Amino acid sequence: MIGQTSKTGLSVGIFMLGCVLFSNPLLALFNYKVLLLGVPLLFLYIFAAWLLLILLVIRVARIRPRSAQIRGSQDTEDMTSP
Amino acid sequence: MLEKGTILLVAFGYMGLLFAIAYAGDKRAEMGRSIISNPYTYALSLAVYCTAWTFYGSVGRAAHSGIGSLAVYTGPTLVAVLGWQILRKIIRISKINRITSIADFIASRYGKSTTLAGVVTIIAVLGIIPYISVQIKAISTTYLLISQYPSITVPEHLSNIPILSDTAFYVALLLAVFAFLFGTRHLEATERHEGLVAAIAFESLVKLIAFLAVGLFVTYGMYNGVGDLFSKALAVPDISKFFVIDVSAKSSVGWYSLTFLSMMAILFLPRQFQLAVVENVNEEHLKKAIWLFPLYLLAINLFVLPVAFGGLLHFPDGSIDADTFVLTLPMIGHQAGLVLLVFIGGLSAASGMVIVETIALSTMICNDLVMPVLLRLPFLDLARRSDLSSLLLTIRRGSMMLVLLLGYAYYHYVVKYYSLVSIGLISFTAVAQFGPAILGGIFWKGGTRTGALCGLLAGFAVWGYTLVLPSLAQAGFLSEHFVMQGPFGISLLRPNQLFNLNVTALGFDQYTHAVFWSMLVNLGIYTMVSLLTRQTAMEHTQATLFVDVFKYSADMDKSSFWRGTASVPALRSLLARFLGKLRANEALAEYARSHHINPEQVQTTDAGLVSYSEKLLAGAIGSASARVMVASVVKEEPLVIGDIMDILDETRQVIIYSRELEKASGELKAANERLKELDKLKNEFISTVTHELRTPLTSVRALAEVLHHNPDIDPVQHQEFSRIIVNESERLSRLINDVLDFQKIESGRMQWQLSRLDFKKIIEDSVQAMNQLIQDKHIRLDLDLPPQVPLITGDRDRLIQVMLNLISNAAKFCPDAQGAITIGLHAEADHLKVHVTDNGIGISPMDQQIVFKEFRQVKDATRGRPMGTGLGLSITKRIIDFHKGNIWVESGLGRGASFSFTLPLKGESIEESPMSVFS
Repeated sequence: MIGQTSKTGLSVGIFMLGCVLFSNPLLALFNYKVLLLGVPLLFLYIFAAWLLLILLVIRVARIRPRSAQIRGSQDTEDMTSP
Repeated sequence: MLEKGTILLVAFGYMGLLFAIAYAGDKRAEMGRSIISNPYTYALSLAVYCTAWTFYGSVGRAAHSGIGSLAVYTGPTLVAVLGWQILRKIIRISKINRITSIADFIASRYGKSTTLAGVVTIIAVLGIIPYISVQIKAISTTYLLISQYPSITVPEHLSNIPILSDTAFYVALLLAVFAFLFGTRHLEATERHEGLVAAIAFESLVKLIAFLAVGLFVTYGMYNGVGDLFSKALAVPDISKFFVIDVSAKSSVGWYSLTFLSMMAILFLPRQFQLAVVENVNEEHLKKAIWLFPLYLLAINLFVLPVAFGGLLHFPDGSIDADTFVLTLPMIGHQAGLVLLVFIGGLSAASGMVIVETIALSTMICNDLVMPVLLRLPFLDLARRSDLSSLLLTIRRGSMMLVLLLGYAYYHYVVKYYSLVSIGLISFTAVAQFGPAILGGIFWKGGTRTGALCGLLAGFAVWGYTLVLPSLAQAGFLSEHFVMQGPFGISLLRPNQLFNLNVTALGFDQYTHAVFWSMLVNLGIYTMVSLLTRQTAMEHTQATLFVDVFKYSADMDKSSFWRGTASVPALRSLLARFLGKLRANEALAEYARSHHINPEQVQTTDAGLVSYSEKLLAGAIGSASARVMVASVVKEEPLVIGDIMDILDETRQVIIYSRELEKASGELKAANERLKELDKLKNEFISTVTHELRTPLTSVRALAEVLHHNPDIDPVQHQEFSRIIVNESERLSRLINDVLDFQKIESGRMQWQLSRLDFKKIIEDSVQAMNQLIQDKHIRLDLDLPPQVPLITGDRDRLIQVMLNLISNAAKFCPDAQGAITIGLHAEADHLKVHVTDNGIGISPMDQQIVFKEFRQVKDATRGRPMGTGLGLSITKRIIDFHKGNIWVESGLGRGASFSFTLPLKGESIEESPMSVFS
């Protein structure tokens, strides 16, 4: 199911998710002077979000393009401009 | 106590190790077993992004603004998410076009423009110099700091000391030497530095380990873990304020602009471009690098806040510069080994950045600034020099030295007033100016050279005005007045508040202010000018090749812009000049192998090899210069314009050809029509002739039968019948003669008896012959003959036939009563003119056109078919034609007809020639 979606689309989606995660309304949600697990909440949140993004990128990087079997066509697969 | 000697020994030992790694890397690359051809080395080399700024500065910034400093690393993470889409495209384009630098990239995209390459180079050099100065500052400051170990004495800003006793000066020189060693070891000036990449990757590893070591030491050595450290920090209000960020719209602007700047920087910093794009071995490596690199950033930032808070807890009075916490904390912990490790880590971060940056910048200065100028200077005549590779290396080394000395100068005069991070941001803002031209260039075909040039220049100008001028003013090069009150007191133009932008209300700091204005101007002008200007053919081609790179890359080698040919020896010597003889031969041999040609036998080459050579050269001297050099040995005008003209010409020829075809088929069609008509006429003729033959034959036969069956017929009647039989027989012979004559003339078998003739005599003879007929019809005949006419050359019998035809024709159409025929003869300058005029029924203008055509008879509704075969006038015309004369008729219905013809007096030109039906 995930392989059916274009890699570019997913990447753009993650990028937009990252933009949202790292911007104000969400940052403000965690903007309290408290420690969680001994770590400032905002600090924890940012690193968690960061890690999430990396994990998502790993997941997407593993997707083989639909036409991976056909050599050469793989290149054009994803390159509709974002 | 750390002896200076120990520190220097370790530092030089470390650099030696790096050099050994680079050497090994190059050796293995030569043997074809690349140690950098794996995604891990690639990802680690990308971490050259983390410089001394990161290593020392991020703690310093965290100690001033807390968590907000992380934006410098979350931005690149966001870019990495799109790395497969953006970076891979840039890599593919660069590989195909042999692009060696960011200047090359932009120039190539916008029609291989030398001007653009020069502008980008200048922006890059001026923009990066503050950044390089930061590294010089970091190395020299930390060196001075740890050389005091274990006492912590913050080194004074030593701006007043002479340059020659300034540690930073020697640091700059040493860095230049290292850059020489790493970047220009080879005699061939090629673009790839495998060993360097290996060394940089190693440095990235070292700085990460060093930083993690400090982090672990501070967190677990000085405090009892993360919880302990943070709860102690929470207790101090001055520190706990950094646990949160100011989320008001006003102040979050800084976070966004930092994110934006770092996103641009990770793509367009010359050293990032060098390692991520130019040194990329395999684009598949990007797949792992796009998550390994963010992971690296995350790891190196894990302990930034703990170290910063630890520093703030230990030095609450602010006596120690937070930029040095990474070193000062181990120092107060008396960890000499760790201090050295951290120093080496910082050295790694700084030297890695400086080496790669200077290599990238020197390539740009050499290829895009110096060489294009030198190649165009006629008195240097570089194009003819046999070996330029040593000159290239000299220029590169010179520009490396220049860059580092400029970096030192900026450090010496300006940097002391700024923190590491602030200086870095000046460079980031400069580099961000490349964003519109590059991103626009690879995703939008409409961007034009002029648009890119104007956008870049405008953005760069705003950058200089809003960021560099104030920094120079602070250093005392400009009056503070300029910054505070604006130039000439015009407050609208204050560099820190351009057009009175309410920076305080918006929460803009100096950098956000500069980013806003420069990007607004840059992007706006790039877009507008691009929309308003036209691309040249070259730009258009390059735009398509860049934007649709994945569509065209499969057959990129074939789609060359060169349409001309060049001689192989000329190309070979051109390559040898820039690449060295050995490499040039190797390259040509490789091309020959892959294209199955024998380079020794082939003397001229096609566009393929020319393009191949251009790309090879582009690797050494940049695409703009390479184009100029290749153009000097290629024969034809190479541009696409010529191509288009060719195509147009081809099209035109096809059109002409098809027109000719049309014409020919039209002719064929007409001929066919004519044949059909002739066929029809021949059928009519046959029926006419047979009818004409049958009529006299019938009467001859009938009368002969009467005479045969009635032997005792009345003698008078017998006489009458015999006369009719004779007349009809004559008419039959005449008809048959006509047909035979016509057939003879048409087939060119007519025997012409040419002699000198008196045409007056011919007319008289003809009239004589016709006298009986004329008198029978009671026609009045007038002769208008001059006493004497010049002789002509011609066939007497045929000309008499002409006259007979015309006279009998006239007689035929004369009215029964008061018929009149006039025959006139006039001698003119070079011809005789004869006319035979009657007062008969005349010929309508339409019929005048056809009377001379064979088998044509003018039909008349009232009189029916006239007597004759319809060949008389046709034969007449052919006889006149043979004599090179003209014949025509003037007439009107009811006004009689006048047939005239001319005969040339000089009859020598008459030749016997067949006449065809189609004449």
